[in-house]
Amino acid sequence: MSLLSAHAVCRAYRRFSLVGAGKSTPVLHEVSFAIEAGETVALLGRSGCGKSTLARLLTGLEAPNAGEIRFKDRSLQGFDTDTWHDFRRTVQMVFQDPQSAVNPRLTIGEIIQEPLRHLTTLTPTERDAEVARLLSSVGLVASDAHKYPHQVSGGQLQRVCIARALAPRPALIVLDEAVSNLDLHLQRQTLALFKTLKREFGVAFLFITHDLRLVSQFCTRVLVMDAGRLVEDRAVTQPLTLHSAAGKALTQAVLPALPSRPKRPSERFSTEGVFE
Amino acid sequence: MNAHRTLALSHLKVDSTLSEARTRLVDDVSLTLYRSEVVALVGASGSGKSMTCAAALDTLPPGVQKVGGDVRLDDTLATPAKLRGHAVASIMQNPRSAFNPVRSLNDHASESFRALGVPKRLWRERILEAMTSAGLEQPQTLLKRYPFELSGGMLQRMMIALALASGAPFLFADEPTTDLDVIVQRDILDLLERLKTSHGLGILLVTHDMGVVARLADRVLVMAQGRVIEEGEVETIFHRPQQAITRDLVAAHLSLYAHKEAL
Repeated sequence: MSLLSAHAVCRAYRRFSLVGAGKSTPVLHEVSFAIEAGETVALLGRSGCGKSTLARLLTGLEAPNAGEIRFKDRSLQGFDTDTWHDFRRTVQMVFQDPQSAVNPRLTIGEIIQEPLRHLTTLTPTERDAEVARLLSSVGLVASDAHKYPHQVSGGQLQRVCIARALAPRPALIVLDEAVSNLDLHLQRQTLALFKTLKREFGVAFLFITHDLRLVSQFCTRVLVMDAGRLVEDRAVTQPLTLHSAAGKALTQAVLPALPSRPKRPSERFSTEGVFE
Repeated sequence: MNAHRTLALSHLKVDSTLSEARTRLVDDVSLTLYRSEVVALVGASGSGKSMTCAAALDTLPPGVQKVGGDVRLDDTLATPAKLRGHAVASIMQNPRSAFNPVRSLNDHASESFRALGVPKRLWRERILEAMTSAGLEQPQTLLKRYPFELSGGMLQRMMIALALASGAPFLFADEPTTDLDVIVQRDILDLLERLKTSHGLGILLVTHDMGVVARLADRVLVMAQGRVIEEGEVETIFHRPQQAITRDLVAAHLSLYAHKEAL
C-alpha cells in the first residue's frame, strides 16, 4: 500500500475577467505515480512545468479536474473530517517563498505552535517545550520564538517553515524548492536534518527542485516533468543519468564544479588597469 | 558610452543602528572593479555582501548607516547619486518584484531614461538595441507588455537590457540567477559573459552559489562577518584556498559534485 499516490490526475486553470471566462489552460496531463513510506523522491522540472501544481494536488490544497489522489489507498475526494485530520497530520508541506507562507502578525513561536494546537493533544507547556526543541533542530535558538517574521532573514524564516512542517511529526513532507533560497552551508545542514529524520523516523520526502546537484545527494528516486507530463521515473544512480529530453537538458545546464576560463593575457594586471 | 575604467570602493564601513549596541555589518571593505572583468563577492548569508553594494550606491535599508569609506571612479571621488545609473547599473535577485506590475516595459525604460537625462529622441533606439543585446526577440512588441505577461527569465533579461540602455560601464548583479530555473540560469550567465566582452562591462557579482562563481568570475572576494577575508583569482580560490572559511566554502560546493569523477 502506497503512502500517497496520484492516478491519472489532470488539472487546468481558467482565467476569468470582466468579459467572461477565458479558455482553460491545461497544466497537468494524466500524471500517475506513488510514494512509498520512507521514500525520498525528487520531482525535477523547469519553471512552469506543473511541479508546484502537482504538489498542491498531492497535499489536498486543490482538487484535480480528473483522476484522483489516494492516501493509504483511500481517495482524497471521499474524506470525512477525521480522515482529513489524519491526512493533515501525516502530510506536511514547505513552500518556496517563506514570507508568504507565514502570518506576519504571529510570532515565530505561535507560527510553529499552530499545527501543534490543531493536530496534537499537547498541553500549552508541552507545546512551548516542543517549539524550543524544533527550533534547535533547524539551527535556531529558543529565544527566536518571540521574534516576528520581519525580524529574521529569509533563510531563517524558511527554517521556521521547516520546523512548522516537522511539528506534527508527519510521515511525508513535500518540499517545494524549500532549500533553494538557503546558502550552501544552511542547505547542507537542512539536508542533513532531513536525512536524520528519514533514518530515525522513516519520514518520506517529495523533494521538488530544478537543481540536479541536490538530487543525487538526498533522493533515491527521481521523477522528471515536462509541460505537465511525467516523462521519466527512475532510481537515482551514481552518477545520475537521465534519459528523457527534459532530463538531459537539465543535466547539461548544471553549473561547473570548477572554473575553466581560458587563460587571459597576463599583462592585464601588470599594466595597472590600463587596458581596453 | 561612459569612458571610466575603474571603480574603486575603499574602506567601506556600515553599522546597524537598530539596537542600542551598534553592530558593524561591513568592516573596512575595499575592492577595485575593472572594465571587462567579473568580480564575485561570496560568503554565507549575513556576511555583508549585499550591504557592501548598497553602501557603495547609498541604497542601504532603514536602520543601517554608512559610517566610513568612499567610492572613486578612475581616482576621482564620486557621489552615490553620480554613480547610480550613470556609472553603475544594478540588477536584482527577484525580477518579479523589481518591476512595477501596473507599468508596461516601455514605461520602465522611459522612467530610467528620464532619470538619467537622456534626450527623448534617443530613447526608442537605445532601448531596442539594449533589448536585442540582452537576447530579447521582437523588442517592439515586448515593450508594450506588462511584467506579469513575461516569464522570470525574460524579466531578468529586461532588467539587464535596462542596465545596458543606461550605458553604465559597471554592473552590480546581486544573486542575478538565484530565483531562475537552471536552464534559464545558464542562458543568463552566458549572456552576462558575452556582455562582459562586447560591452566591456565590469560586473560585481554577489552570489552564494560557487557554481555561478566557477562559471563566470575572474576574481573572487570572500567575505565573513563583514570583512573580506580572502581575495584572489578564481583558480587560486578554488584550487589553493588559504583561509579555513574559504576552504569550507569550496569543500561544501565540491561535495555537491561528489558523485562525479574524482576532482
